[in-house]
Amino acid sequence: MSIKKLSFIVLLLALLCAGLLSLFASQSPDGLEHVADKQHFATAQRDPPIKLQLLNEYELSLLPNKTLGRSAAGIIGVLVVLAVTLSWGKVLTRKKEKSNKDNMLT
Amino acid sequence: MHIPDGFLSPEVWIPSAAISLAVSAWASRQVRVELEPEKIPLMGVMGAFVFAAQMINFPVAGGTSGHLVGALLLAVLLGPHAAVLIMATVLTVQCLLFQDGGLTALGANILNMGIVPAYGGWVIYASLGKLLPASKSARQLAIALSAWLGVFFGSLLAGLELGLSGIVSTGTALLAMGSVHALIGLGEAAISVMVVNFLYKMRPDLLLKQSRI
Repeated sequence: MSIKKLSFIVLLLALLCAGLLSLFASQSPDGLEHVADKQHFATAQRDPPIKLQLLNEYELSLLPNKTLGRSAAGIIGVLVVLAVTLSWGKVLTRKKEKSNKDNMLT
Repeated sequence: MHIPDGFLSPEVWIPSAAISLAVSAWASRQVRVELEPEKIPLMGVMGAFVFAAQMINFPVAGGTSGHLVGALLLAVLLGPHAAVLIMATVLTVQCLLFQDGGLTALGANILNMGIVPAYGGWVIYASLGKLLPASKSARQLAIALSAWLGVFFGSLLAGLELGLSGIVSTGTALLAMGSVHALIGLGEAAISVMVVNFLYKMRPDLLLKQSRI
């Protein structure tokens, strides 16, 4: 199986996980939240300086339906991570090509 | 395990950010030297998969939940340097787009969920690879153990950061974070083994040469 085909399958799985399976995720607080609650320091939490209201808490507030909003947020996240990773991957490789060309000229 | 803003003191989050930045810069130099361009699509989709998997919290004992970290899994498939960069990408997107994890705490989160489980887990995995005979069960054991240890030690570091910040006593933080993540780590171990098994079936050559056992 080519890497391209395998990558496509993994991407589909990622979209499935983010767009559908995430809707069935446990709503219980995670390890850190649980500790923060129990040890009474959860209230110290502050909003980060950059706060995009659009996708806060993994929910696309544009959409009227909460489930759709969560699904859409997951899919958006998958695509953004993919795009950003591919970008720096390409940049890191391009510099190698550039220095190869420089070496060839000297 | 995503630490929000407000939990860590500047004495803790500033050095954490500096360390994460320095290590990430070094990791990107290693990736630039080692990266095979054909692997870039795989890096992208594995990053996307880790992001997606992190959305699926599973219940662990006592009204708590956990989720996959994914750093060791990435390291086994793509090498620890790429794993660190991919985890940093996932954590940064989570922070900026979804407010999952604080911005000042981003360095600490990258340290706990990226650098420690990727490099620490990788060292354990590669060492076991040399010690154990080459077999599927040996590989699975090595993955499970290094995945678990990576999550466990990452959580202890988080506990230490909280303790040093003065928001909770260090002893309490270490005990609480360690015990919860000892359980969450079991999920990490199981999922890591399953995912690597699946990818190994499709393309056995994908496992790095040094790690092949």
